[in-house]
Amino acid sequence: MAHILIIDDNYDMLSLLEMILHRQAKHQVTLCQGGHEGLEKAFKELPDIAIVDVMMPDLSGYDVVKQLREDPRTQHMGIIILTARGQPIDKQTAIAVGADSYMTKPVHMKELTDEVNRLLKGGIKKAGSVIPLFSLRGGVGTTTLAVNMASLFSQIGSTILLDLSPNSGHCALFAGIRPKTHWGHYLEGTETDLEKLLLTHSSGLKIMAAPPVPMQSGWFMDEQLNRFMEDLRGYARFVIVDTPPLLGQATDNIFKIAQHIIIISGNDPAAIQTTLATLKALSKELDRVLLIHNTAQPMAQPPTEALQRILKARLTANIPYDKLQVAALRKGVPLAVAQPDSPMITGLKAVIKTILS
Amino acid sequence: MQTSSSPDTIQVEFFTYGYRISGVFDAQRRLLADVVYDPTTSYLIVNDAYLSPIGQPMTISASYTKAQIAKDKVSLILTMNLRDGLRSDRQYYRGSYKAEVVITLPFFEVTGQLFTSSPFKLESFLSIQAGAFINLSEATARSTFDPDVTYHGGAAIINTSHISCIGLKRNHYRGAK
Repeated sequence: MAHILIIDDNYDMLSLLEMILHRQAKHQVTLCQGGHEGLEKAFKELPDIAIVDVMMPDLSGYDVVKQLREDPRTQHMGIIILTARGQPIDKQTAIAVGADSYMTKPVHMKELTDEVNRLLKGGIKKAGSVIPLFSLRGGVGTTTLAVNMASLFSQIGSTILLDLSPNSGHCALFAGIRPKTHWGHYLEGTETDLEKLLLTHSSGLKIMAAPPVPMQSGWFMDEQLNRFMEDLRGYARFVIVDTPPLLGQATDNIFKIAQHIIIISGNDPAAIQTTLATLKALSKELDRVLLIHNTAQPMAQPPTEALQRILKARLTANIPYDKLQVAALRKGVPLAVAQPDSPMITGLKAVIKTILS
Repeated sequence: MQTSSSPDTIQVEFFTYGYRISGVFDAQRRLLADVVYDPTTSYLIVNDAYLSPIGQPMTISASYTKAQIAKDKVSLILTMNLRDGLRSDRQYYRGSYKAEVVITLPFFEVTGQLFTSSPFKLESFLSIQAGAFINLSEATARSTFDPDVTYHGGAAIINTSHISCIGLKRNHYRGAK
């Protein structure tokens, strides 16, 4: 079953396509009666395929396709243009703006479902949703949350936890795995098959570990990181990134392709200051930012309202200190696996629910 | 099963001086060609009309829920299916003679098949045409200024008053049918 977004200004056509693709072909279908609404839903829900009409009053289908292709989150999506404008120039234009396929109305049910299946089977380059966890302030529990969030996501669909730390990351160790293979091998060129570099946790979670010691050759260059991310996204539905505490071109590139950016804040003055600075730096991405407060030290959980007032932003979750995490860390088992109903995991489940909704 | 919102609506391409208008014609009461050929009316209505400049046919510059089109200003009308572009009295018999012709219009050079009841005579064809419009089957319209841009139609309805030249490529006799 695939998730298909249908964008058409004609209500009857939407109903008909819903009947064909949802009731008969059993796909999950999202319907939109205009170009702007369609783009909004596409960026939010990241469907597998979009079926786009050309002639729509608010935004032409060509403009919709162009914007889908320009955005890193949707650039790999399968796109079918389905239009009543059936002239050769229309087909040329549809392909030129980036559609994978072009069909004219009226289209036979079988032709449409065949085309959808063709795209699903091999036409689309799969691209997992990228969800980075980030804090400029160290010690707020970013790695702990990343490991547990990735464990939770792996229960929903194939997930890779990417540890991007340039200075000895700990994601693999938190999951009780020795990082024998890591992205350093890719960077050095000794292994370019990413699948061989992935570590597998017994829960099914895949981990792309960081090198245990900093690489002599340095960290990723911009283009290298883009290529690496593009390849890695092909292996899983979700890529959870434990992002290093740096704001620069590389983290910018990760944020650009992210479905959501999770900012972790602590409550000490330095953590509050860095969170405010981060939110300011990400002012253009705020619609994708989810802010989490994490109580990483054994202390009382500050009230959500007070934190929101200080941070001048809404908190998606206020995660309490969880003493069970210390024991889980010692055992090398993510808390999401060892104690799935613990307070921290309950908080993270709420964040995942927000992401998936 | 086909994805068509209504069996009585047809998608039509109108080409006027400088514009391509794509719209939906409601053929529930009268066929498109009957309305176009009707000498007692000067306009026709299309729904969901989308306007593109002739020079940029891929750009949608405006759209209207309903639009009125002046028939005498239309050079060429294209329908995907042949029958959608034929008059009701020509749905089953189009004529025994077929001529392959080339017609020049503002912005277009159109090739297609012209069916007639008597042998096609180039010398007198335009002067003895009773109506303002003629039908071509399997028509291809090539843009004068950008020959790579072509439009196809199972049927084309052409405004004879916009024709600057008509050329005969081949004449056929199809036999009585």
